[in-house]
Amino acid sequence: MEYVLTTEGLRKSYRNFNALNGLSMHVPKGAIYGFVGKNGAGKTTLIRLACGLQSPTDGELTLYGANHRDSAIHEARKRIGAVVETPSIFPSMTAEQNLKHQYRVLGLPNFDGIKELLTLVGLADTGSKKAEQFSLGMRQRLGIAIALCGHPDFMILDEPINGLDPQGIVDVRELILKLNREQGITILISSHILDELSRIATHYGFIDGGRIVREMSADELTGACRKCVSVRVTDVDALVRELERRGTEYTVTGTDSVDIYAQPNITELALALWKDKCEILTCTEQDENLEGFFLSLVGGESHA
Amino acid sequence: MRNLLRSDFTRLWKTKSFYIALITVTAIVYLCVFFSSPAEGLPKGLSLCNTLCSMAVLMVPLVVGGAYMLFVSAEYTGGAIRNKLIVGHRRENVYFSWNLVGLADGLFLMAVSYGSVALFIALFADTTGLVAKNVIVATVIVICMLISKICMSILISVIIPGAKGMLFNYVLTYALLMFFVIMYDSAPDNKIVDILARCFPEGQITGLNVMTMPDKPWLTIVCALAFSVLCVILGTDVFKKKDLS
Repeated sequence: MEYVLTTEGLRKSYRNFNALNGLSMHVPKGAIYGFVGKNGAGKTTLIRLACGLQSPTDGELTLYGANHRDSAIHEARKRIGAVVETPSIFPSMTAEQNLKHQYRVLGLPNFDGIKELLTLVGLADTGSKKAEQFSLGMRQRLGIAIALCGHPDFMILDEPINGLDPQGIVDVRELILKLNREQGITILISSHILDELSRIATHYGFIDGGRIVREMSADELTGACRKCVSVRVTDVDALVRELERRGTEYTVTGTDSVDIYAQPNITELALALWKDKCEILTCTEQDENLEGFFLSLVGGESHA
Repeated sequence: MRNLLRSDFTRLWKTKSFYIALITVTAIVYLCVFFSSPAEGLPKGLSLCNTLCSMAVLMVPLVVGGAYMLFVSAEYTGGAIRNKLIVGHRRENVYFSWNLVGLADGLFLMAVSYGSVALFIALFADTTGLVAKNVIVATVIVICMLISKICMSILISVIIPGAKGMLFNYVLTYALLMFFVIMYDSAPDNKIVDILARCFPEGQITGLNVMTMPDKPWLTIVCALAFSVLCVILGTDVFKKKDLS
């Protein structure tokens, strides 16, 4: 498989704090790579290193075959576009002026395509309105438009739907899918909104404590997500005691609910719980989703 | 590099702070020169030229350097600097482009304001006793001071971006001015102070006038340019190692 971005044993330390702790990841060409992790797990740090905003303390980072220590990395970076945390814009300029500036930075011979880019991100009618007067969502879309200047092959989007309204989220999702499917752009996207990520990602990297704990394709994730029986009861402690006694794997998902990773005999379970005056309120069969899988990987209240 | 220069120059011409600096420098220079009282016993043209010379102490750090620090800081505050690095521009090129654009900006502002006033004095005031060589040397030293001040301002912008950096620059400027004035009085023959004064922009300008030829002007020019190069080298190194968020 051809990879756009790979890292091996990547480390980034800030004084006594290790933000990345031997991170190894592989972003395949043509993928939408969902980068999933808790706050402070190291997602943005990795993105900053990939974009050349910071240098690794140790380890290897390779972009389009160019190692981060080689001068060829500068050529490789010409093929990427990125929105890192907040959009990188000049607030005193209009959307069009911001794009023109980026065209000059890239050394493009003319301003062809600016109107199309503004239309693509829904900012075509902003006219002389300055970016400082834009809503957070509009700034986010302007940031994406700037990242798209020069037709990059690889886009890095750090929390691109932060601050967007529901329609904006749908628009960005469709834009990402369009860029990936129609233009073949590889996309690395980090997001806390796992449900949204699960709709578009073709590959996943789960990060925790500054290292990748699992990389997998969307198909592998579907296979790995287990079926469970979600049970609501009047006394979770009683249910937990009974499941522990039986050696059944479970996750406490709320004050009155538990996911059981088995096919329990409900009548037997109900009779056993009744001895502790615990009633089963509802019982539904569920597939584990990305969120559940992520929690089972990086911790939470899972038990085996 | 050419792309960086093109984008930086275009942004500069479209930045409000550039025009505010241009109007401010020109207005202050004209006001100060035309409302100054001629020194006793001197032809008016000569006195005005001296006033113009001493104005550089105020104008360059306060307006020219300050406005350009705002220009550089704008890339940090909006995060737009990231767009240059993400698309593969080398940090040393980004830093060098800021310096070149800054020097062009400073020279343009000084040329317009000082040049027009100087021309006015030459045409309409009595410049008897003005020695061309002294004027040329003073002009070259002011230009060297401008170069070293801009290089120093950009270095400070990179270490302390934003308004804090500007404030630090002003405080440092006037602290150094006071230091050199005091040291010239208390230790006029101290060689270390002499070299430092020739290196730092604040020292280069202290006591400069158009009536007398300064001592070893070539040494001042060499020290000023060496100091500027040192600021660029140091700034490039700091910027290359700087973690951007």
